[in-house]
Amino acid sequence: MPDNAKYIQQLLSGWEQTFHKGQLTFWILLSLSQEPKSLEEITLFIKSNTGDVIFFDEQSIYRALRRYLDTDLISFELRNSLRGPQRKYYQLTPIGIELFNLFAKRNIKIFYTLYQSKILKLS
Amino acid sequence: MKKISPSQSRFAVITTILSITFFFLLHHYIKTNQYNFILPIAVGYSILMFFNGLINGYYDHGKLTTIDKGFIYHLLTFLIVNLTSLGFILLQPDPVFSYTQLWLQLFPWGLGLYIHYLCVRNSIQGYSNEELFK
Repeated sequence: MPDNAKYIQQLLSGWEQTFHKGQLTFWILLSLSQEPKSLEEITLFIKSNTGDVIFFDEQSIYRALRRYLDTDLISFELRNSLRGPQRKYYQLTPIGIELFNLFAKRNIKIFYTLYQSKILKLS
Repeated sequence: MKKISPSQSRFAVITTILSITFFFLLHHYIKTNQYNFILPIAVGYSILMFFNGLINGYYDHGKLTTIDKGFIYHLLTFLIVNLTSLGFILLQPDPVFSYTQLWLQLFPWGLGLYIHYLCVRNSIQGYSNEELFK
């Protein structure tokens, strides 16, 4: 292959695009598992904790928040903002907390165990 | 888990009252040959039922159910309206409705209800898994 690096980059990009698509729920619920956050703060949390590797636009996050509100995973409260109108602060409901903990235990812990047992090497 | 929310109970009570009133008036106007009143009461019944579902559905926060909310409202309407029809056939001394008419109402509606069930059986509050967790 003439240019391996370029080809690997193309494969990586394709894989990541598919891989990241299913992670929106995880990252939103993870950001809210810490403390209530506004839409902007959720976006910032994801951006800063993934080193810009994973990016979701605010519109996608907002639409996802609407769905999680409908299904009782999150709730919100209005808080005063220094500038402009009141902002919505989203937080996990007891159902959201339980769901997130169950999901993390079943699906995220696997990677940690693999890393600890040195099957997954990140060097 | 609660199967019926307060909004759904309210919807069921209002549907029962509206259906009994509608069938009573329908029965009365057919008996007295006052056919001009049938269309207005049918339209009025439909409009009131529409707002009954719309308002109670909008304020329905009884979310802890694995059954689709829309389907619950459909099922409640199906049961109440058809049981009211049956009640009028059984309890009226000289009913204007027949069992054949009841079956003609039951069969296509029951089929529609079944199709509705098939469409929502795997949904979570009206969302497919892909829609909700994409």
